[in-house]
Amino acid sequence: MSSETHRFEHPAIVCRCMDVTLEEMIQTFNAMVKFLGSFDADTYRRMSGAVTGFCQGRGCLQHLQRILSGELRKIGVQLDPEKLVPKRRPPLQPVPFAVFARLEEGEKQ
Amino acid sequence: MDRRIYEHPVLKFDRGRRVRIIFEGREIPAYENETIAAALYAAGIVHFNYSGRLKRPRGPFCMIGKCSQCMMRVNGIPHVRTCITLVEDGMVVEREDVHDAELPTPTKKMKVEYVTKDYDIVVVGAGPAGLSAAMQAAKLGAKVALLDQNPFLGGQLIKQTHKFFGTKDSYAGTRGVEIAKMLVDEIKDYENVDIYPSAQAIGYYRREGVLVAFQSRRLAEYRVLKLRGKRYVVATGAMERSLVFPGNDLPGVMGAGAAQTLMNVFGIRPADEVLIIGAGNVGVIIAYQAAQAGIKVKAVIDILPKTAAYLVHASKIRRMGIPVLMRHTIREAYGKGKVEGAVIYEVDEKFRPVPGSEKDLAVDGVWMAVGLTPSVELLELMGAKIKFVRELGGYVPLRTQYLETTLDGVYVAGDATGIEEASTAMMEGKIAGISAAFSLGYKADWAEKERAHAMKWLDEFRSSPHYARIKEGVQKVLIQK
Amino acid sequence: MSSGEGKEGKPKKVEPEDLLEMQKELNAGYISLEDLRRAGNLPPDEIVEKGIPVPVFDCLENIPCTPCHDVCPTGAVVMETMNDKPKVIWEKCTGCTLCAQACPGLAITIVYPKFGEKRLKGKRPDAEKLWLVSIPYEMLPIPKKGEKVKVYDRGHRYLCDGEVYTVIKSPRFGTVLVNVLVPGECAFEAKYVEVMRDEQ
Repeated sequence: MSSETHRFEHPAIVCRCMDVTLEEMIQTFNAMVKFLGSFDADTYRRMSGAVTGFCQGRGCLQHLQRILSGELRKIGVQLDPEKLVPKRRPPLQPVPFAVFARLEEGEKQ
Repeated sequence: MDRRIYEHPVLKFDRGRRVRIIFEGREIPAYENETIAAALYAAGIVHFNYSGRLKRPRGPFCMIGKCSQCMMRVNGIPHVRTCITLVEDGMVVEREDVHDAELPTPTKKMKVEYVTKDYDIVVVGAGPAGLSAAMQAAKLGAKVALLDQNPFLGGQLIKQTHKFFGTKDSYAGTRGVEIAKMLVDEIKDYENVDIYPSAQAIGYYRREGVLVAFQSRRLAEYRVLKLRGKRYVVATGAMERSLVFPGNDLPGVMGAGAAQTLMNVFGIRPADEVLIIGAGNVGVIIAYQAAQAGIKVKAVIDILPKTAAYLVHASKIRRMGIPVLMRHTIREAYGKGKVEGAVIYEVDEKFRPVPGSEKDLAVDGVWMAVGLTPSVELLELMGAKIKFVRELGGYVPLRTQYLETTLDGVYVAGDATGIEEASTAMMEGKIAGISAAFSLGYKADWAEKERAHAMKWLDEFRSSPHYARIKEGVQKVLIQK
Repeated sequence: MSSGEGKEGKPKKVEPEDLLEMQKELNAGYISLEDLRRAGNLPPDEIVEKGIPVPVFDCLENIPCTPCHDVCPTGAVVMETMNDKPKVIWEKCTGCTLCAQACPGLAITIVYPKFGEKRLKGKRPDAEKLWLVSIPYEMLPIPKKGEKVKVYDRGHRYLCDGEVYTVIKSPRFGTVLVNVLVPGECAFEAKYVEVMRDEQ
């Protein structure tokens, strides 16, 4: 269904945590190609905001990977799937600040 | 409104003591074995918070602590993941704007405790794979830590009301929920196993060899677990895939697993009328479970020309009058503040829309059963080599036949090795648990036999034409050490 | 897509009933009697003639699954490896219904041809034409003995009314088995029942 002829009531959301729409993902891709010429998942993540939210991409990493490789294919670039994985860092899950703020307190064996 | 199921053809729900919570000034009945999210859903509340930038109403998508869409302010604490936090009497629950900076104003003092402990084997994930691994290792005498991010052990088994396929060795003919109960009951008997529910692995520090987990059994009571394992078994399972379409974030649009959690773990009808996207095993099984819960399934659709489900599962819902439409997909979900309907359309052999094929279904639930992808983020963080293998559902770790990854002493089992079945997860768990214990010097003849048997069983299972792809996929990541 | 997608092009509102007749093909999970016949899953006429119970396996794929074979007390369900399709030795089946209760796929019904003629003669006027079909069932409400039910085929097409002869609830399997009396001509098509109760 082409979006030119039909106005949808709602946007298509790629990353829920950061509220990034499909349209914005494509715009970001185009900007990335134009200004950076760089193609890896980490850059795409930083520029789009997707995969940077609370859930750390548990929902949207798959979409980012699919969109990135799909858009790249359109401009004739084949990306090695191993390059589609952004670097992982702790914490892997959201943790209240209070927990780390007291790291010295009451440690027990 | 009470959306709880009090009569179910195969399940009985142990809800525990009745309590009450306060949602935006309104008193809501709840039960002590319910999570906050479940209690709200039972009261018909599907809108949990406002999204960060677009301020769109949002509600839970995964119901197992992964998607972070269920966050609310609870007792003055912002960003509480309500789907894995159990209710407490008198809890005050409010919607929040998730990107707004909010000063926590806890109604009671937060407790933080730090625990450092050494183990022979640390098992991450207490689903069928992790439970089996922990059990075998414990039987061999190893000191084991078993952690899971959910308040209940058993992983996704606890929501499976259907009887399992397979053979006697894999509990064939038994419902998943009963298998979970048996495994959990058994593991609790081992004194050399420490169980940590509601504990999420948040980091691994290679130099120190320490896994850090964050445990929160009750609101505002936190424990930081620093667990030093001589060996690790990572059985972190999988995450549901989703689709990108207009309206895909409306409350009521959720993963099939989330709907299963509400229906089969908590006994709550998440919706009255649903559209299910995906006619693979999960899609058709959940349609069947929805019918058991008294929910009307308006259609099960799938973009592929042929269902990937076992024919017996698919035919089970066909005879009940649930339409299964192949070569169909969703165009949009619509509704004000929550899903009120969805438009589907047919595609041709090249997946292009067939003009004039749009159909509008009035539904208050859209459930996505469009596959799973292995959860390997912890393994990546630990430094294990992963590889994209389409047959296995995504990025999976390289491993030996004994399921040791490229990292010495780090084993993997279950869906984290590639998307398969609960029965294969149990077999893999056995192999990983026994192998990890063997490598520490624990020995027993029965364990040798058990491991050989599990390996043979897996091989035979994967010889089914249904799993030929898996067998190929596994070959691509098999390494020698 | 279509440029004419305006007010007139508004998608049609549909209900499941409108979609039910679509895609009655194996690819969409619909098994026809013809599919079963072709696969050799239906008993030959001479077996049916004998009036001995015959299991009908709606099981056409090589999947790793063995409970029907494991549970059969007479060795009537043959299977070499876990991935084989079950093969029935008709003469050995006693109609004990254990396989129908054990099957995780709820794929097995047991047809007892000429049940009325053999067991109900003189007890009711329509005995001659009644056959018994055992159908595994996991929905609510659970049918009761003596109750009238609507009987459906594999695509939920209404076939006939049936009468619940007995209901077996075995704690060992947890799947209810509804034994329904139906006119003989519906017996092999019958695969699903729904209770007709006023409060429903």
